[in-house]
Amino acid sequence: MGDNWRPTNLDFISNPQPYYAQLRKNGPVFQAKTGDYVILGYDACKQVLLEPSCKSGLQARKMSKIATQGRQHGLDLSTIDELLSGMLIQLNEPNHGPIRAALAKAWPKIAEIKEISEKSIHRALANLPNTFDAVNDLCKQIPITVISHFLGLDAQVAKEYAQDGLKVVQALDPYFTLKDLKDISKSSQRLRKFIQASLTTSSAGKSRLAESIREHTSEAETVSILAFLFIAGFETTSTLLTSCFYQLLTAKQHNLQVEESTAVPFVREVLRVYSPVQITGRYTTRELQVGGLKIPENSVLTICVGAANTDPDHFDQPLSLNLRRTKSYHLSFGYGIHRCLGAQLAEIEASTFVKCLVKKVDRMKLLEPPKIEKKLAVRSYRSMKVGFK
Amino acid sequence: MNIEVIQSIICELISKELHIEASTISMNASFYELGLDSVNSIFLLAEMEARIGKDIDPMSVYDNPTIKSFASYLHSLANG
Repeated sequence: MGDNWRPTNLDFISNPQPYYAQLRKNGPVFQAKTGDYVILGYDACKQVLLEPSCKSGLQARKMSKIATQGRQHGLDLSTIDELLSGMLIQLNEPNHGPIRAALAKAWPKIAEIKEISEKSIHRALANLPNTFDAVNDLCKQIPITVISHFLGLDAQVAKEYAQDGLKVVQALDPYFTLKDLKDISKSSQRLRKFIQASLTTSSAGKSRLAESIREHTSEAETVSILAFLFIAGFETTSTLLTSCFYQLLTAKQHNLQVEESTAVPFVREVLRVYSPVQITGRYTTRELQVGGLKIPENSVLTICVGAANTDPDHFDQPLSLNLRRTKSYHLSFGYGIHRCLGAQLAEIEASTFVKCLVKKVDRMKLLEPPKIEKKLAVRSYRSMKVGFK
Repeated sequence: MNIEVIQSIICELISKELHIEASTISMNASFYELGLDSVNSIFLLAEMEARIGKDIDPMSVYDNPTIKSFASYLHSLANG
């Protein structure tokens, strides 16, 4: 029954791979004591992500129940509910399609992403002090600057909301406490206010992305969707940049040689083994056979993409970063109709970052390994101390 | 705080949260049978945290699925 399913444990969050290895003994799918079905196998994960009867919006549905019960306890948690309902990954058809299509059409082109990424990365790397915190001074700054540019937000102001973004993402965790919810609620309110104010006072209201969804949504929904794009644009990417940086700093210990020409496969391998999104959820709307198990209608699916990405039945030597791997189709960006809209944006940011770093990393040393936040679905780092030699 | 007191607090909170008459709740009943789910357990645990003055892991209700076993878990947590 997967008694070693300990997803709220900090050990599990810091290094889930040894736990996944243990849990695989229960098969590619097992029912946890929490009642949900935990999906670990690569094929099983892909199957449910592609299955039209497996619906998104699990957390949005749960949050609206929580908001209702909260009111009975004299608590107003409605902003979380509002913000979650604007998260594209929580939407189903027919609402999801038109908004996604509109955003996809207005999405920045590759050349534009490259230009802005390069500019932001060069600027961030230019004036680093002798010792610095790679997470807060670098790996968060870069994606915030890039996404702020495309959303028409003031990057300097946006930085003050990074911590709120991190909190709001915690609403996607499958398990949390009331204290977590109160913190998430406060952050949701701050973030909504910031986006709302930006829409009227800065260029945000005229950005291509904001314009594109206006005709499909109400003003309140526009705020939620833009808040979601802001968070989605930097939370996971900053984790990816930190993981890339850490792997570069420790590459010699693993006999790993990364060059400018192998930056792209390197980023893909880091995405696969250290997926910023570890867990995503769906619920079934009919009975389903997955990984040899019959899952009843209306069950909760806890999809461990981080485990699927290192499934030994699918990947040879799954935990090693192999830049020549031909079959490296990770599920870190999801799969199917909800596949991450910003996948290309994240890959370009990360590979540009790696290309710039490989020239500098020999002169740098790790002073303190990365520290992680206690957050399950989306991994986030708190700090990583680096210095010049 | 002894185990009996903790048991009666859990009973009281379950009764309040799930609208069940406290006297009809068996100490050996599982939370699942009583109708506790991932949403109402959040509010129950928050109340319990306030009463015993310790943080409670949201997974602990699943590890200790009856009032009796959960009470003894909380007892060692509160006195540990």
